[in-house]
Amino acid sequence: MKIKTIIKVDGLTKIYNGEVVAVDNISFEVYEGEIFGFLGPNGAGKTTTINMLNTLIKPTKGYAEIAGYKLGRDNDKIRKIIGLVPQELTADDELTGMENIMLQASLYGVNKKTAKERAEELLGMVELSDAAHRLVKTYSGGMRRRLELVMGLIHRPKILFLDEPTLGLDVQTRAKIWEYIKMLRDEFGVTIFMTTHYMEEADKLCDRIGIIDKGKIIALGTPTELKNILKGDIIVIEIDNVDNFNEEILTKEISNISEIRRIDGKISITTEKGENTLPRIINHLTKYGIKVLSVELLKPSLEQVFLYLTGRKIREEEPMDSIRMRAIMRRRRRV
Amino acid sequence: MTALLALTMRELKKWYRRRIAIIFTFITPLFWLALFGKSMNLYNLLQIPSNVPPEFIQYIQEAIDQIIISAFGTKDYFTFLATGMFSVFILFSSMFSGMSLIFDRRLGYLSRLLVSPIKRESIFLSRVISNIIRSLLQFTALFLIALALGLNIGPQFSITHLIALYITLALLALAFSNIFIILSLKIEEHDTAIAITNLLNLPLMFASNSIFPKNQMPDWLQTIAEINPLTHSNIIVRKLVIGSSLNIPLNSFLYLGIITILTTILGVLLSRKLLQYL
Ligand SMILES: Nc1ncnc2c1ncn2[C@@H]1O[C@H](COP(=O)(O)OP(=O)(O)OP(=O)(O)O)[C@@H](O)[C@H]1O
Ligand SMILES: [Mg+2]
Repeated sequence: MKIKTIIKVDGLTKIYNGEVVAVDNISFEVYEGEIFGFLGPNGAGKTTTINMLNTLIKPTKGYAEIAGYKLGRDNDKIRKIIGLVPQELTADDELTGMENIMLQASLYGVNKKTAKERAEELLGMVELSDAAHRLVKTYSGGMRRRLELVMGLIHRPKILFLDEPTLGLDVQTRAKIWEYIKMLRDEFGVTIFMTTHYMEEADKLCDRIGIIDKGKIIALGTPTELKNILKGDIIVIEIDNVDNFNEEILTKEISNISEIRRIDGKISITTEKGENTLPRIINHLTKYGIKVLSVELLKPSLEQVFLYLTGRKIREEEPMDSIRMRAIMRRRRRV
Repeated sequence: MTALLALTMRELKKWYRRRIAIIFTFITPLFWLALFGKSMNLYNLLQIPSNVPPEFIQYIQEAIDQIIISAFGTKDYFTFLATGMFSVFILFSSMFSGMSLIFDRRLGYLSRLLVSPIKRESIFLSRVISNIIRSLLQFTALFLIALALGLNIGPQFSITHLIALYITLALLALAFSNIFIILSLKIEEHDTAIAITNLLNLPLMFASNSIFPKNQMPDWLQTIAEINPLTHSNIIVRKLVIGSSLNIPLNSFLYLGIITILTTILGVLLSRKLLQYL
């Protein structure tokens, strides 16, 4: 199959209020019919990028083309073919779930009958059928997130932007939603541009991933390609005195070590077959009188890739509570 | 077009669901009419003292009648005030028509509307239309209440007059909601909108002929009253309801019509411009 570019981004930049550089001169391409993901920690610039591409935020600089339409010039045309599931919970909580969905459908000119059929199917998929005719303000945070998803899918867009689509959902629902996203791509050829800070989601769902940090794309490729950056397993060792440690001696005495790095007073060793190498390393260190305080064996994962590239971990926990908090804040503002 | 209709229905549905709030919107006008309108009956204030020789009473009475009628168009101050209040409450209900836009911005619903391919002006017009419908429904209730409280309708009043009354108030509601929604297009905090509203509502009411005839006002205030849409709406409403000739309402009708058309055009153009990005 011939690869066709559907989103083309060149030097896209967003500077808020002339000082906060949220997205810093990024360039990448998304192929037609793929699931493309942005993986990055809080504040990395994921939402800002998505909102520039979906015409909500005006870019400070740069060029982007969506399905051949130029961003900024052809926004009307772009809006017709895209869909957005925003990170924030934005359904109208004074309407019922079904009313929200039907209203959404009418914004995109989907006729009532089709909308109804799709709504039933989608609501069934996310297990919201029973709550469809309740006011959204009576929904839990997780229910609201599932409704957001249904609303974003009702008009079957050609390109779908999903901003943290499974934030705060439980494992079963998350797996179901992954399945549905895959189905959309497989059956309807929808191109999906999503953001997440869940490693597993990026790994299992995305065909290609851009790792984004502080507004810059620091790596881009298939999950396998990204993991290959690591060249094997990683062993992280904490010792009592790092100054006594000598990289050269270790590489000389133990084969198949491809890289040794010092991060935050710890030693990070890249090697194949970590479980075999680890005891040998410990023996080696003990022999030279170096006391080992802790060891950690890490198999290649996107988390390790991020750690390797930035020296930091992505914090994954976004507990349900934060969604609830937002819902409460909303309600309070309304009074 | 379907989007505009759906968005208008959304506004009305949400309004209808806030039943308690609706009840309150009627309590205020009721107070105004019942307390203010009934207690300030000027005609009763001008009772002829008992020591006046009886042969003069008839002449004095006629003089008083003429003065009051020439000022208010009716002997009954309640009727004068009530007919003025119809427009004032159109103003009061329209002032908050921009509020739903501000909340939509705050709660993120606006971004849903902005990413969708709908015409930008339908975001604007849906609020305008729903406000006109709301205002006219409120007016209907107010009109019935005023009738029950003793509104004096002129003998000429017919169904045509009633229709003209609705058209006039619809124009006024259109003009005011245009203005207040335009002000809300880029406002992010509802406090700001409330402040603007509080700044404008009473001055707009007093700088018009709503509660007092404008020919008693100082010149500068008369000038303001002349350009105040309330004044013109009041002139038409009183002509229609009371029937005595206060002015030629055609000018007022034209004035209202022009303001309405201009603010609508401005609103559509500004929403196309300002509702492109968040
Ligand atoms: N309206 C705004 N005004 C000023 N700064 C902003 C605005 N929106 C976002 N930012 C800043 O831009 C940066 C990127 O924010 P963005 O929301 O794009 O991050 P994100 O990757 O989506 O994070 P998260 O995972 O928390 O959703 C952050 O530093 C944020 O504080
Ligand atoms: Mg985000």
